[in-house]
Amino acid sequence: MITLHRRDVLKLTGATLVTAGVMPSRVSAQPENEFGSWPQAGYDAANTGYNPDAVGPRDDIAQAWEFGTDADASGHWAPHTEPMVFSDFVILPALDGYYYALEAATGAEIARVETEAGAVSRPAIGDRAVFAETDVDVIRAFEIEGDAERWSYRHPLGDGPYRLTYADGRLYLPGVIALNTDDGSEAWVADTGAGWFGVAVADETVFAAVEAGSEVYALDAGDGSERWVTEIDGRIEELVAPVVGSGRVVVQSESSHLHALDTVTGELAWTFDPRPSTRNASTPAIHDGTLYYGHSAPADPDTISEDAGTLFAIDLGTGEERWSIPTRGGIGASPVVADGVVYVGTFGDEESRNPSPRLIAVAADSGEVLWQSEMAFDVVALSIAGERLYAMVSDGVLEVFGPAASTTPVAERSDDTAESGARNVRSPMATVDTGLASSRSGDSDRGQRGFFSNDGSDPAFLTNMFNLTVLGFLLSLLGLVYQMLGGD
Amino acid sequence: MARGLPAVWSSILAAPFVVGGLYVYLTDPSEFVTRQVGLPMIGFGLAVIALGFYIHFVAAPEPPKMRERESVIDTRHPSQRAALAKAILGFVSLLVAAYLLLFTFTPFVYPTVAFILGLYLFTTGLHRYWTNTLTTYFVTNRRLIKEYRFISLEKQEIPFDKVRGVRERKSVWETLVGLGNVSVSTGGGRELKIVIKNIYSPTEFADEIRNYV
Repeated sequence: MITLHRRDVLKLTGATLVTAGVMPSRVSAQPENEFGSWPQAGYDAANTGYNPDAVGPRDDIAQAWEFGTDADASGHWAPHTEPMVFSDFVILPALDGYYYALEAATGAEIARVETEAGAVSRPAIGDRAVFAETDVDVIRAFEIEGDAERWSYRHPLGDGPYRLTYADGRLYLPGVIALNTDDGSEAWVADTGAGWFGVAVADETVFAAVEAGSEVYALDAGDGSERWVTEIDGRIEELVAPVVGSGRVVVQSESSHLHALDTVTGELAWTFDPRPSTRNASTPAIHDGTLYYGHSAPADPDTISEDAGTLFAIDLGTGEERWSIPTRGGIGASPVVADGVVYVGTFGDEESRNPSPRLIAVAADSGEVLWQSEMAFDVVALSIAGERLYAMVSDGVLEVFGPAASTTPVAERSDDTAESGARNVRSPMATVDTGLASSRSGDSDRGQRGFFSNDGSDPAFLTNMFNLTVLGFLLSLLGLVYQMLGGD
Repeated sequence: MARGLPAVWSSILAAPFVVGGLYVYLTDPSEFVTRQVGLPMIGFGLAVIALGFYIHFVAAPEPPKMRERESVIDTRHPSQRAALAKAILGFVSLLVAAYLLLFTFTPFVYPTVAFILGLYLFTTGLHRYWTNTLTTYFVTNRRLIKEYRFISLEKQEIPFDKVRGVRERKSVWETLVGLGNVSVSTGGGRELKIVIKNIYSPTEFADEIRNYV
């Protein structure tokens, strides 16, 4: 793992990342660093969303820092890119068209560079280089150790922005095209028309789905030859890349159904229907034989309810639901997993009874909600590295959280944030009055605990037991004193 | 000072609220109920203890002054048995409410109903206990006197030559616990009535009054 030094960061001199100063000129290779890494979209080439080296906030949450951009994501067609973390730096591709380089410790801006391509593309880090689409359809590789641009490559088919995937000395581009990362030469080109929103690489196989089509390809990572192609039932969701784990490649159709194919044969293993069906741009995460899938209910004002979103845990082998929890708001940020905890971000909806977006941490094995934090703006992208959770919110601000012990607890920061104009107002880290409760397979009576029933249809004030208890005891005490004053 | 030991008994009755509240607040036993629910429990318990001490040391009435050739024949205090039974039933219902709230997944309406019922029984039982503590009935050779003081003194008296009716009554509740009420009233347009509540041997007491009428 590489470590960057603040003093080594280059000054802005041009349009590329290196010359713009986004990348430092000198680095030293070290096995560990304080802030960990999240080197590409989905963390790894298989897009698992699982960071094995991270230990995120598990029992409590506190804000470490925040950084504002001009990238208002409200109504933007593309989902936000999660920030990349490596060594002591954070690279933030933002929808305002800039790549930002920030200090991981403090969030201080080191440099920014405007990209012609817009920063909705997903850079990747690997092989001691950063790969990014800096101009329209042009991908450049920048040396992490040193000052040079290693190579550049113009995508022959155009139609970016691209989600780049690095694996084993290769950089994979939509199409599918595999580039050798040492010199940028084409290792192979497979004319499939697939992978426009990213490919997944695992077990020397490249998996790519045809955006808005039905075909899923498995290509040999060595030479690009086709191993199998399978057509799924329905059109593939264009904003969700395939994810791979435990012998399954999972793709999502526009009806929000998940289709799991055997990675070796391409045969359909199972289909998961989250109900109700709707288009859904949440990419699942995978860890330890379980797939974590955030699903949003249809954005129909007549049907939107308290449970506009659900986080599912699904057995990768069988497709059976292990547990699910209502997230109240729709899923805004795809789930990420670290150290036995699943993190997910939600939208708020002023028309519903849950106007506040939330960050939610859930125990991966049981579905128990560990904590939740109300946010002032929709949470649209997450990544996790080291001890910190990076949450991009819809008004273009990167919020960074860590465990309370190592940072300033959120509750204690409320005055500070108010003075500094910070936008988020959070409730204490209590899960008890959120109405978020897991629903386990085989334990169908568990779900959201309501007042008259557990179907989540009750008004929120009726499920706030604190208020009801205060009211009950207060009335009793006042009644008692009143009766005593009145005599026998 | 009030009769009995209201400070001690109030503290005993309030202790489960304080202990239970601390338990909920410190251990956060339920994922569905905020630990802050323990705070009103603690507050209620402390308020009960404070009122118990006030009643014990401050609120009790003084014995009435006797007139010339007047002497006290009998002094009665309401029994605490009914109050105690009510408070215990309230406790049971509150325990059920706490169990349903903290250790089950039932909809909140069930613990809420048990909570309301338990709180009603407990507070009415406690009210009866405190009221009884502060109430004394004096039977003199001339009149029946009832004294009660919580903050201000409330004193009722009926001269026996004005009494037009002595009535005994036992509710189902009082029959169960062996108690009864005796109602002593004057006639006429502005009727004055003293109800001697929750006393043992109500028939004997009623006969005692009838002898002076």
